[in-house]
Amino acid sequence: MNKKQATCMAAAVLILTTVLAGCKTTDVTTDQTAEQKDSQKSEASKEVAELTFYHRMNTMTDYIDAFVDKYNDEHPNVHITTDLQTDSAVLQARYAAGEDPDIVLGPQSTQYMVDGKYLALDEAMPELVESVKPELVDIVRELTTDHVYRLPTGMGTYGMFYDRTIFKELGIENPDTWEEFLNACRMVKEQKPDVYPFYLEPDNLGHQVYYLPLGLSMLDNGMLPYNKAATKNDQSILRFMEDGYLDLYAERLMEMAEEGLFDKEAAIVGNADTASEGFAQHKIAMMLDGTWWYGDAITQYPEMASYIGFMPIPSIKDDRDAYGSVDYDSCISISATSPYQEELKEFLTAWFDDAGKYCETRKCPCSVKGVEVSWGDKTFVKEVDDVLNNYETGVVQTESPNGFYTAEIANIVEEMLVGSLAPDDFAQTFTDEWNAAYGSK
Amino acid sequence: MLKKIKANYYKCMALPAFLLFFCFFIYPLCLGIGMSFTNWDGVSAEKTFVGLWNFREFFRDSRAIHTMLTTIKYGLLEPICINVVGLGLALFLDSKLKMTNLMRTFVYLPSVISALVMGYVWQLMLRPDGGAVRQVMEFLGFGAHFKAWLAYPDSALWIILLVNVWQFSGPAMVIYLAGLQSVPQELYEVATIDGAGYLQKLKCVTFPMLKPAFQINVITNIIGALSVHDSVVALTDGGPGYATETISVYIYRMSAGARAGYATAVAIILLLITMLPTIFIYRAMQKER
Repeated sequence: MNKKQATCMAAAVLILTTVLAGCKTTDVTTDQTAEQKDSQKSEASKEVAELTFYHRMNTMTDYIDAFVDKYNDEHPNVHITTDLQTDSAVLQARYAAGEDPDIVLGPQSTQYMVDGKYLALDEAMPELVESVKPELVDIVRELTTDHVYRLPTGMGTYGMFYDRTIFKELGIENPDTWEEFLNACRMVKEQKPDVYPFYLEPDNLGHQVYYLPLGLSMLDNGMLPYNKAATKNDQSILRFMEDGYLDLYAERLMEMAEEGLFDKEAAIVGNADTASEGFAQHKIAMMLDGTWWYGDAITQYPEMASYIGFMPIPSIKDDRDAYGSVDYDSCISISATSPYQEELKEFLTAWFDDAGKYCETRKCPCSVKGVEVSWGDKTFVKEVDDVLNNYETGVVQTESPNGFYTAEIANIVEEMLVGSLAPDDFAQTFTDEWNAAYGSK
Repeated sequence: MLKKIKANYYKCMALPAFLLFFCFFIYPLCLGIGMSFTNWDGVSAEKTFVGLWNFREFFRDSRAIHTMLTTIKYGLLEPICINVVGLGLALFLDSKLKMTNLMRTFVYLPSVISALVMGYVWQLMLRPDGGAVRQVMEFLGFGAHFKAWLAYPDSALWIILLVNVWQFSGPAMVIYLAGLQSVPQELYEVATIDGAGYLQKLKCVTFPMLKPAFQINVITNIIGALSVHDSVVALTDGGPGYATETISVYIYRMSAGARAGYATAVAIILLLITMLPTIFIYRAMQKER
């Protein structure tokens, strides 16, 4: 063997070894993790705890930075650095690189919880979990392990926002059924041609599928059984193809598109800023979204608070009344792998002690029992309460396979809107994509 | 012995570059090839060997095939357009016009801005409500011809192409200009004496002398076009629906969607797709030389 052949052989062996290392099946043993944790703990006890606080709440940056600065000043043994990332893929990259953040303020996917990234708060901090409204704890409970790995700071409600000025001017009564909703849209279209009767934007295309067709299915089955079925992809309960809600949604949406009751172009190229701007200029009559949108919008356009109204979601099914949806807002978790467990628990307690102020800034009701917050215009808050108290209200927060984000669903709806997907095939395509996301594991 | 070491000393000079190349290219590439045979989700510590399942899945998925076709279509169109525009600009700005340096600067300037930023700027300009393009068209009396081109599958890809050609014709122009300026003037003088006109000079003198510049431009543009990502994300995010979803956008989405193993397999497929035309053009040009 000459020198050249030997070099080639060595290079080939090196490359092959690397390729094999890449495809090696791995499984982390608990022994190794415990050993690593012990060594980290002993190191941690000696130094200032350097913690990272990952969040995606860009509208809450000022509050979070001020809170963290104050906390750092009052706790010399701790130094927290905030890390604002609006793209959820960044969190995945952090975990893949082994750079687990110590504190995460949304989004906590089920996979991260199952993988043991977050501390089980119901075990480690039961009093804190007790202090949060039980209906919200139920929503955030991870169903396969039956533990609570995240706690919401605020709560939200999903429903129909409307412009009270336009409704008053045209004499429109708040619609309770789909037919009444369509009639309201038609009236706006006829009498105010420069106003969007109903506004849809790409983010909402995805959310709407959860709140309209899947929401009805969840109300039929109850949140816990439905979500348990969703985590196991149990189609005998989910019945995407059988219950007809996805088909009905596709039919309803295309009917509206054909009548020009919403702007298809805006549904594809619009954004949340356009929605806020539209309401600020009285160019939008109705829009489905959560109260978290309201908080951001009235921060940007405070004058809107006086005329934005809220009503329940009209059911796409004819013989069914409108309904409301309770949701969580701003879920926070702490790392289960960090060596600074005590420091993190202390931080979380301080975070929830200040939850009222957080919610006042965020403009949402507080998740902590007994904490009342002045979070919005009185009429608006009354209308939200009316939806929660006088209509069928459920927790319409569907568990979904990891990676099957609302943006993915929005793409399927867009395909339908631009004519690349027949409405009859919508339910099948949705089911296929959902199954593919589950099938990847 | 010492003599032998001295004689081979120059090889050590390549060592830092080789180490960097190995650490940041060969090693990740090999690791990626291995990873493409697993079902790793990109988060958990577990991964299982699944053989060629990821590759089979790609060719069975109609969305993936559509993505590949979109990428190939774009990969064919963009290099042609950039080279035609770049060469045209180079020929124009190689003349003895006034202010050619200023014009070259203006043509080159967009390419120094990030494609992502440029994409967002164009997306704002093309907005149907209050975008600059609509306002300008209305001012000029063509307002009725405006539509939200990014919202339609048949026009969205062309807009992405237009933005990229506008942005990246500058670098192509600079390479062609360098090529043009290195053509010996004597060749043109001889051609003039032989009675050649402008077009004949272009065909028989300029174009043959520009082959090296052409080779660099075509190969780099093919690689760039087949891996186009930033401008697509900023302008359409692959939409409407999946109409402008390119392979690199698909890879990103699959990776963010907890399918890192599958995404890596698609990245390997993209590497092969990129290598094929690049090697073909490179070899064809080497033969001609």
